[in-house]
Amino acid sequence: MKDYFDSLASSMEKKLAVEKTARRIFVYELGRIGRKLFDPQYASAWTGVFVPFEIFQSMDVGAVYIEFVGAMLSSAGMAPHFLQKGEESGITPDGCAYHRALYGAASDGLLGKPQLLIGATSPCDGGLKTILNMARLVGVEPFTLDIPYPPVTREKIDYLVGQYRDMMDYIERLSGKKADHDRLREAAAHSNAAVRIVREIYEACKQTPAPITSETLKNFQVIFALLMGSPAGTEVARVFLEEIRANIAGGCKDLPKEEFRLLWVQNRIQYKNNLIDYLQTKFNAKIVVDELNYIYWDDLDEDNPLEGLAVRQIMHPLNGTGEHRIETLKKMAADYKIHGAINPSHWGCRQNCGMRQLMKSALGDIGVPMINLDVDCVDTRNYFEGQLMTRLQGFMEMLRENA
Amino acid sequence: MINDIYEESVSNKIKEYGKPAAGWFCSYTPVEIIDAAGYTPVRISGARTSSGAADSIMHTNICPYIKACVEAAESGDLDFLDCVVFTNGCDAQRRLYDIWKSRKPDMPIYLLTIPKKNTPVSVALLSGQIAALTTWFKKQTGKEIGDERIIDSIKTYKELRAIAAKLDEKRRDAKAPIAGSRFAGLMLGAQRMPAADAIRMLSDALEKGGEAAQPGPAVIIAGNMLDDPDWIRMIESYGARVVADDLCAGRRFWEMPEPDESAPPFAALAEAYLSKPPCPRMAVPDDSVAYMKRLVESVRPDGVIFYILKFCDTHLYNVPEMRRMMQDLDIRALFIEGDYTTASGQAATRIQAFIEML
Repeated sequence: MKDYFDSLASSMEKKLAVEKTARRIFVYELGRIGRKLFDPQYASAWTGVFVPFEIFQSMDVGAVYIEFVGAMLSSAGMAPHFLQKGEESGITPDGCAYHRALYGAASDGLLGKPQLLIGATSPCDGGLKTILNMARLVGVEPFTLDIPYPPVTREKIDYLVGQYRDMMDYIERLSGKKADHDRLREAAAHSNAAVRIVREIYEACKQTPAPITSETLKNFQVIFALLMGSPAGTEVARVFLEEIRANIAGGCKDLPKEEFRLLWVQNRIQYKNNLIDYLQTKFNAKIVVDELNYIYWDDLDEDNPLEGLAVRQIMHPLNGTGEHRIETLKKMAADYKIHGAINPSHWGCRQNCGMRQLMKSALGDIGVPMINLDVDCVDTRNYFEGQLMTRLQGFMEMLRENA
Repeated sequence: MINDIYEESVSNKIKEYGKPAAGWFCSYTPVEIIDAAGYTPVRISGARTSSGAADSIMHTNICPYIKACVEAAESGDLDFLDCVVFTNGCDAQRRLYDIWKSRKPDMPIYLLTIPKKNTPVSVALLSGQIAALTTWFKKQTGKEIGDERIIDSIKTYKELRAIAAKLDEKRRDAKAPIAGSRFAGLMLGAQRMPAADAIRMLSDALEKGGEAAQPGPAVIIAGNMLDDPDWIRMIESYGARVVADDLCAGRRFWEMPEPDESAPPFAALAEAYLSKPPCPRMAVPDDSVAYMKRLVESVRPDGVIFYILKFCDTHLYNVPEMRRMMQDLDIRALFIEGDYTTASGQAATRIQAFIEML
């Protein structure tokens, strides 16, 4: 794993010297994050997906969330091997493959041993259970962030902020890395700066045509979370915005045609597949927005960032009941002038699959058809492209008729 | 239709109590509040046969108990309930809440959020949540629910749980044990009637005692939602004695530290509920695996049967550790994933073979 990240960062560094593109700088910074896991200068942490990385940035903690590892294994074509390992260890094959892949990789010793394990009760049970399982597997004391459901109240903010402080104590106790208010303020400032740029990026994509391809912002915010609070995050966002502005200035003429504007629900399929290309080439259908690419929070108060982080975590659309997630989806569908939505309905994702019909109905009520695929976004062993293309064909033809 | 697994139909019996009925699902539901509000707490069972409605409303890979509850709700079998209390026990249950809210908009429902940690601040948070639940019930009934009523309900359920604990011990009585299937039926009944009636029923059972002990291996049954005593009868029919359990509708209902009656009632309940033998949903150092270890060391069964409903991440993610622990304790264990159907088929065959091995 260390070699993988080293190689990723090195290869991207060379490519950046030739041409600086947004995806290249993004991948480069991800490689650097991965390197931190093995750099003794940093305390290494495996975490849940929506925990606030600003805190880690301020304490020299090199952290990745476990789903990132699963996604990375999948994109590198290594997932089936580690999924098999995970299943051999006794993990149910019906669980989320992001988690199972990590479990298998950790069982195999691929990932080394973190100093810190930080889980959260949101967005899902499987993520937290995986962190707790990792704790037993690698022999590291875990820490859990218990995230209250919306709506936000003073009591809930205090509850979560108290836990952030406990988490910082835990980090110090296990790694020696100390909390530093000035550095946290600095991380909050970087986070705000980056988010202001990202808001502009998303705003630009509301235009018709959207100044992106379907791949431009794939997995963007969910991976960008790893950079939150760092100067690198601001730089990555800036390069993305530059490219998008250049596309706008050029009239988007070098971009694929856009006849249909699509919203992608939750996670992308992490391994190589032809679905996006199929949608583009056959139907001129572009994914103009991903559900998880959504800034729903206000700027952090740099003098008191923990409260803003608490509000952000409580109000995440995937936290709590489905109601506010659905309202967010409807708003995005309207803001981005969406023709249709695609939900991969990742196998093993209870919180998504359990409400997929509700999402479909709610979007249908505002005239936006949604297709629920049945895709494992990590495990290629359960991927049948022909069938999925056939379903997408039917869906797109319906959109065409509706248009 | 809900399978009538007991002598009397739950819905018909409920009407006889002359109280409105409040449905609930999860062992972290503070039934004391439901009781204090003047409702009969009714632990909900789902439909044993599927029309396919739940799969189309939810997804195939969702907990079969949750989907069975959706089936039961869709068929109208749960329309006798006057309200329902949900918890955020697990992802499936929070989606059940979403589905129910969408499909039964006229039925009053409440989502109680239970922390996953047991700390003083978690207790304080839950205390506030329980207070809010009480306020909700006041609005439903138009009646005050004062501290005295809640304390009375706490005392009543304390008595109920104490009798349940004695009945649990009787399962392991060397001479005249209460059969595991009888215990399971009693527990399920107790979760579907007013507490005072449940106390009478359980007291009668305790007084009546058990039957002559049968030879056969002693097993613990563990898992999540097993609310059909036929499963236990099936295990007994193969010659085993079910002497203890770690189930949602079994031990995790009745085993709980006594709420501190000198403390404010909401805080007392919050502390007691968060301190009970933990469900695998809880992120606590003394977790469900540690609890199971103590149970096994205390009971020293001949074997443990883990019957876990499919797609239950909270339980199934524990399986590797449970396997290791059973090996370390030198206790034979069988792990089965179930689908909330009747006690037959492949699972029965595997259980039979396991018991024969014991």
